[in-house]
Formats: sequence, structure tokens, C-alpha cells
Amino acid sequence: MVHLFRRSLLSMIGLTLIIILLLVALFAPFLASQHPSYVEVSTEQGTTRVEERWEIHFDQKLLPPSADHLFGTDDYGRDIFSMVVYGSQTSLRICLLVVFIATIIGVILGGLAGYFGGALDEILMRITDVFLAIPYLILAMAVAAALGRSIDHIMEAMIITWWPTYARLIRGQVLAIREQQFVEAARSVGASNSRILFRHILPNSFAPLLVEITLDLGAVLLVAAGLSFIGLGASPGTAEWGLMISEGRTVMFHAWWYVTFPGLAILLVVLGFNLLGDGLRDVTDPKLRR
Amino acid sequence: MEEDPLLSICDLKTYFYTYEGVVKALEATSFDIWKGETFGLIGETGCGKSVTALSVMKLIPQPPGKILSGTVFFKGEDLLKKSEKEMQKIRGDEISMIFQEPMTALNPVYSIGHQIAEVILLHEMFPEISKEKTINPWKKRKIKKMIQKKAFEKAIEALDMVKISDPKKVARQYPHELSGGMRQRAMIAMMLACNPDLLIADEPTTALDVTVQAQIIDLMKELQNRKGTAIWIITHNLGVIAEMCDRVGVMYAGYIVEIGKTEKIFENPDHPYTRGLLKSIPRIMEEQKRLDIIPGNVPNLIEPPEGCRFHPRCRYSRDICAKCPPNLTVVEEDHCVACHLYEEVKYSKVGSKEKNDAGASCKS
Repeated sequence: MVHLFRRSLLSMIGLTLIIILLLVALFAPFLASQHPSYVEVSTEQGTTRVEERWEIHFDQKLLPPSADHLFGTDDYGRDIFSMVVYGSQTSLRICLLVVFIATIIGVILGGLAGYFGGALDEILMRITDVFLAIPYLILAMAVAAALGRSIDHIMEAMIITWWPTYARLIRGQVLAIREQQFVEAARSVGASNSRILFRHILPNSFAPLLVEITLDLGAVLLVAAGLSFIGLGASPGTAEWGLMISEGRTVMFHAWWYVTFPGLAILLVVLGFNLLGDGLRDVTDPKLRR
Repeated sequence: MEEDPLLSICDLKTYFYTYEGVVKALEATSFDIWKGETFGLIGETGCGKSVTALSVMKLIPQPPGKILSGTVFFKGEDLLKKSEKEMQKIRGDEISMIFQEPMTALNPVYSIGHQIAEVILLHEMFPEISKEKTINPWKKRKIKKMIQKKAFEKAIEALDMVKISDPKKVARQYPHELSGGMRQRAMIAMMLACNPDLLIADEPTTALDVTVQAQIIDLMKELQNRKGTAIWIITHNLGVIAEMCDRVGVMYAGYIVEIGKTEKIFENPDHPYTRGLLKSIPRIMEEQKRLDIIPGNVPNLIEPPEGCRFHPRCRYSRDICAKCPPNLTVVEEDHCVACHLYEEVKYSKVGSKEKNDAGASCKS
């Protein structure tokens, strides 16, 4: 498995990109020259939330890339390199949380539906169909309109629309694996239903799930950036790649660096996840092996 | 041998409700297995051998399957009345089952040792853990780790018992790293790990090549001598039966048609179907131009023939055969046949224990 993966250049590039992303997110405070401060603000709904604030330096606004500011500065004089670096934390948090929670919901519901079948399967799968019918964009807009603009809210909207994919994937896997003889063997030595499902069937269905998760991490990042771009996600002033592109749009023609570097960051990370996912699929699915 | 049987199946009736219709897989199956003996069940593909075994284990997928009536007494208790929880305790501990395909009967994601240890944990160790009354999660974890290690060591012992060389290494290997014979040995080790009273072997040698078959049979015989486990072999290989079994039951389309001591059935088969089966084996010593065959196929169990289910293929078939199903009747000591040809000689010789079998199925 590992050597097959290593032989594929594209998957290694993907893996490298993702490792770089993880390192950048982890060591953001050491890499960046400017740092955000976090303040608690109260919302219209009467709750409080933590907001990210960046210092404003009007004397340094829209400087082109130089040794001091590697990626230049924006129209408030904030260092774009620092914002891109801190933005990786935001992006990673969105991807991982959304995919992680959606996977857990999907695996449990899909596993139960596939294993027990019958009426339970029917009920769970119809619920899944209902959620599958909700477009994430409309839901995200509705949530943002009702609860206010926040990354947390778009994450909730995305989890709600994302888990059905996993539920269906796992259900299909469980349906196939359930018929194998080792499941019958496990039952014949007195294993309980939950033990068979969680210890015997699910570990056997992780290969396609892993591929799906990796590919989805990129997709979630892209959707989150898109939602922020159209003004539904991160609140203004936050270091979020999609939002930065949206803000840099107005000055795009005389400050190319403002939109280019966050855009490049999105491109590389999504590319990284996709290459990694494809590579994993190639090694886990023998039919696609060359 | 005169005490109660270890397993007593009486009038077991299992149907499958499918889209095409009701498959009458078992109609009225009755037989006993005594402690420490080897019982063989033979018959063509699809005659209900495996369904009988799965019904006893209560592993029939429900739906579509359903055990309609009958009793399965194991150590004096009716298994069919037990709850799923109680059955889980019995499976693997008191009755265990070896499957036909050693290739697919082991979970590919766990090592052999882990899988054998799981059985030991389920039946011997977990009750121990629940006895320990500590709330401290660290301590609980430590106890669990220790017990898991103990179970793994026991698994290695079990592998050693089935004569796997270098059991320590094999215990850490995964199923795909082993050959078919090794996997079947590992499977036997797994099933015997908790010293069951009854081992059901569903075509244990069918998927293996001949030399390995012989080794597995020798191994099973030896373990039976050592542990006194009763073995119930399901097969369509008459050689295996002749080699291993004390008693044998011949099954046809959901009925036991002939049952008795192995030698008696092989020397003196009374049911036309058994005769046909034995004649269809090629013999090395005699010169034969063509093998005798049983004409026709196994009947469709959705609409089985009326009366004796064998009559459309039987060369001795008479009017009565198409009307009512024959009962198991004793023809000589330790030998019963369900065929109308023998109804006349019914009470001429009375066997000892087969009286129960005969009596049980006569009611239906």
C-alpha cells in the first residue's frame, strides 16, 4: 500500500501540500509578522461571540510585496502574508470540524440503516433523502439571515447538508460486507449486534470512507471560501481566504497581490486534498491500479 | 451413551418467505447427537443441511427465514425458546460452528490472534471484567489491557493446539498471509478456544485440497479424542463421513431419509436415495463402465412433490409414495429409514435409541 502510494508522484505532491498546510497552521504565530487580537462582542441576539481584530496601519496601506511585507498589504495596511497564514487555521478548522462531525453522523446512521435493514433502513434513508434535497447555499443564507453572519453558522449549515453523502456511502458498504461469511462467523461465536457492526463491519468499510473524507476536505474548504466570498460566512476584518478575495476585488487592478495570494492558498490546499484523495483511491481500489 | 442426548432436534420446521414463494427448506427434521460422538449429515446441495445447522444456532436470517415449529433441546434446554442474549452466550462457548470457506470466514482487518482472543474475551474474560467494581477509569483500562494480553496468550496456545508451527508469529499475521489449510486450522482453533460441547462443521473440508483435507480430518479427530467434543459434520463428501463419523443421517429435500450407524448405512443402505448416493461414487477396485446416477434434480422446495419428496426420482416408487410422506421406521438396531418400502417390516426388529427418533417424527 505505502510503496504504491509513494510511487505516485501526484499523491506525494498532494501529501506535501497538506503537510505544509498543517505546519503553517500549527506554527502561524511564529511565521506571521502581525497577529490578530481576539475581542468578545455582543450580537443582536443578545449572545456574545469572539471576534478577530487586526491592527490598522493607514500609513502602510496597499504596499506591494517587499521584504517587510512578503505578500504586500491591504487597504487597511494589514500584512497579507500574516493574514494568509492565520487564514490557514480558520480554513483547517472549518474543513476538519465539518467533515468530522458529518462523518460521525453519517457513519452511525448509515451503519445502523445498512446493518439492521428493513423498516429502520427505510426510515433513515428517507430522512437522508430529505436532507440531501436541501441546497447548502440556500440553507447557509437562511441560517446567516436568521442567526447572523458567522463562520460557526455556515459550518452548521454545511454539516446539515454534508452528512447524507457519508450515510449513503457507509450504508452501501455495510450492505455488502454484512453478507460476508466472517460476519456470520462472528455471530456464531456469540458476538452481539453492536460488536459485529462496530468491530467487524465498519473497520472493513473505512477505505472508501477515507478517500471520500479526503476529497471532501477540499470541497468543504472551497464551499466555505465561496460562502465567505458572497458575504455569508466570516465577518468583515477576519483573516479568511474567501473573505479576503471578496474584499480585495474592488482594488484588484492596482493591488493584484490582495486577491492573488489568498486565492493561491485556496488553490493549493484544495489541489492538495484532491491529489491526496485520488492517490488514496488509487491504492485502496485495486480496480483502478495501473 | 444411554443418557439423554446432547442435542435433540425434533420436528424442526424452517421456511423462507421469498418473493418467489415460500421455500419449505426443513419440513420435519429430527435427530439426536450424543455426547462425544461424531454425527455426519449428508445430502445434495440445497437439501437443507446448512439450514438445519443455522436453525440450531438460531442464525437463520429473519426475515426471510422463520423457524415455524419444533424443538431443539441442547443439554435439556430448548434453544428455540432462548432469547438472543442467551443465545449469544451459548454460541461460541457451548456450540460453535466452522464454516465452509476459510478464505472468507476470517475478518481481513484483524490479526488471527486478535480474532481468537475476541472469542475468549467474549466468553471467559468479559464476565470477569464486569465483576471488577472500580470506577477509576485508569485502573479499569489497566485491567482490561492485562486481560486482553492474557486472552492473546490463550489464543497462541489455541493455535499451538491445532498444530500450527510458530503460533506466536501466526497470531500476529493477517488472514491474507495464510494458506487455506492454515486458515481452516485457525478457524478450528477459534471455535475450540472455549471448549464447546458441540462443534458444528459445515463442509469443513470442501474448499481445501485433498492432502489438506486429510490433515484437517485427522486434526479434528484428535482434538475430539482429547476434549470429548461432539462433532456434527455437514458434508456431501461420503469419504469424510466414512472416515470420521459414528453415525450418519442422510437428508433429502428437508427430510431425514435414513439415519443410523455409519457402517450399517454404508454396508446396507436401505433408502433408494442412499443407495443411489453410494452407487454414484467411482470405485477404484472394480471395473465400471458408467457410474450409476440418480435421475433428475433436487426438487424445487417452493413446490415440493406431494408425499415422499423423493418419489419422482425413485425407481421403486409406488402409488402410496405420491400420497403421504413416509415415517422414519426402524429396520434394524441403530438404523432407521423413511421409506414406504419398509413400512411392512416396521416392528420386526426394534432398535434401542432410534425409537426416540422414529417416535418423534411419526407424530408429524
